[in-house]
Amino acid sequence: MLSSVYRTVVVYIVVIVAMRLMGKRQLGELQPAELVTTFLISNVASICIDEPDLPLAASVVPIFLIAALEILNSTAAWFFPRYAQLLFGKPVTVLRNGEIDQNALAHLRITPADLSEALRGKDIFTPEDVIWGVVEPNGSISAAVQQEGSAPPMLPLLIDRLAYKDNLQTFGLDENWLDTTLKEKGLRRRDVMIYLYNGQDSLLVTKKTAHKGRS
Amino acid sequence: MKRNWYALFLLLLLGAGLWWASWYVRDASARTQLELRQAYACTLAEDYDAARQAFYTAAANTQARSRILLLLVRRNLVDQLNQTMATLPSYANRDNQADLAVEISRAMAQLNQMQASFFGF
Repeated sequence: MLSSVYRTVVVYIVVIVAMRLMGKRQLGELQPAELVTTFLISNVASICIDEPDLPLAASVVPIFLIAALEILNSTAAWFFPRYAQLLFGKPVTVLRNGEIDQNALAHLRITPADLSEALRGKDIFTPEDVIWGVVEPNGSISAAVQQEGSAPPMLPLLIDRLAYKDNLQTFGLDENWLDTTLKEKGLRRRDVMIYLYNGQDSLLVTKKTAHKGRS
Repeated sequence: MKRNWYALFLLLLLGAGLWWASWYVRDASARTQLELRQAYACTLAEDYDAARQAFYTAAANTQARSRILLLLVRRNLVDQLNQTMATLPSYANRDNQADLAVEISRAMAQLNQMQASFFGF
């Protein structure tokens, strides 16, 4: 009995240290790969509490191994956007200028009721108000809404080397325009962290523009 | 990016820990096997007092090594080994030669099982 008490305490501390090492990424809304990591850690942690016959190392070693792999994996995703896209998926547009993309909904197996519920959760009661609605890789739905009397919301055209082609098309633009515009500013896609545009104004954040990468 | 260094440090630490654990399991098994062979050699030489003392010492040493082995291999394998080791001194006499041989074989097999539990897939 006492062994399960001290094992629980040790595993509790180990899991907290591992989650702390993995950082806040692991505590917010989880991407698929992060969800797998969290499930794995919780399962591995319970092994040696459930089975006193197993050595403590049977839980502690895999927990720290998973934590280390998760950290290195998320770093690889940070450095290689294509890998990040492969690992996490990409946002899918389901609403554009008030119109629902029914093919995208069918592809994602999201029912109109699910979409309506998610929009109501954001105090949006009609799809017509939405300029751009996307299903994020973590399954949540984000929506850019046109506010009366204010400028249209900024939509991403380029985030970390990945161009948002459908947003470019919305403004009647294409990737050539994007590359030309960046070239005029003396930049390449790899130099840009975020490029937002709303048809009138743009916001361009470049990488490593200031000390320690702050911009 | 500090976390990457933590992760690499953690991997190095785990690697070193696993290397040490492998060494310890192998070394503990080898030591116990050696002690058993030496004690059994005393029995074959009909020096039963020395054999009994050697089996007691082997059992005590195995028990002491169990504290760390319990962190690395299944508890029931370590317990079974200790139970077998505890019986050996009682068989170290002229009348129980066959039983002693059986129990030593059992202890050897349990040591192999313990190693297989750590190193096997």
